[in-house]
Amino acid sequence: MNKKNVIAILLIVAIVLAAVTIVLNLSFNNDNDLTANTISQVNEEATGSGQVSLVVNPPAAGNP
Amino acid sequence: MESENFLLTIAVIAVLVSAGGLGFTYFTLDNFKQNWLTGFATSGTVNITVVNTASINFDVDSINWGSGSIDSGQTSATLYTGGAEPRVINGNWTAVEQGFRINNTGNTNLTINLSASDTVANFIGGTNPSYQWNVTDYVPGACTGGITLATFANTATGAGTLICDQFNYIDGADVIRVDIKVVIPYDAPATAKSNTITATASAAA
Repeated sequence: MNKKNVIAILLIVAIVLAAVTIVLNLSFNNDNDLTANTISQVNEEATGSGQVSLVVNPPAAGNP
Repeated sequence: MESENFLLTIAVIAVLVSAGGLGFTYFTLDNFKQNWLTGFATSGTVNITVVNTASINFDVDSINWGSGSIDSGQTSATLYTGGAEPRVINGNWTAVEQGFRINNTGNTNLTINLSASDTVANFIGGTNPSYQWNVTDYVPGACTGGITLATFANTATGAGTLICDQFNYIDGADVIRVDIKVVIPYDAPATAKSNTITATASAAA
């Protein structure tokens, strides 16, 4: 076997390996066949409160 | 012959690089499946639920003028928070500067309704009492739309009143202020008086 044949065989091997790599990547992408995305929103209600307070004393003398 | 040796070297390098690439790809994908994906499946549906949380907090939840009476010779006393001094007119209650402060602590813009627990007649009593609130931005841009800001308006009971149509949730622009004004007539019952202001928030449209 001369050197040219060896080179040719090696190049073919390299091409095959590269092709296998590509197929592996494609098969991985196809593995993830996620068919739908569903986005839903849940709205809630919230409350809070504050207190207003005072004490009214009897009016001072002289009020109407 | 020299060029053949060179090509042979290149071919060997090409085989080695291809083999390395294949091995790297295989082990990387395998590792990705094993460690990065949870419940790896060949097909399925992704469900994403985005929860818009409506959440508010009264950072200031009390307005307490304490004990006082109407000055001699006056038909009424006026107490208010915010605005200019003296904040107590014709009376000797303790002046309060700080109104309620409502903070949007959720992750969505809100619509806010305010309601008072009792009518002005029941809360204050007497002849021509008044009980009002005034909503303003505590920080600029907190409330956009829905009301006229910085105006005192009569309180409401029951379902209450819309005070802000778009209450911002972005930190730094998510706090509104509610000031209170009461007018106490001379013939209002002399008792301790208390009223609860409730804010109801829901996600804005």
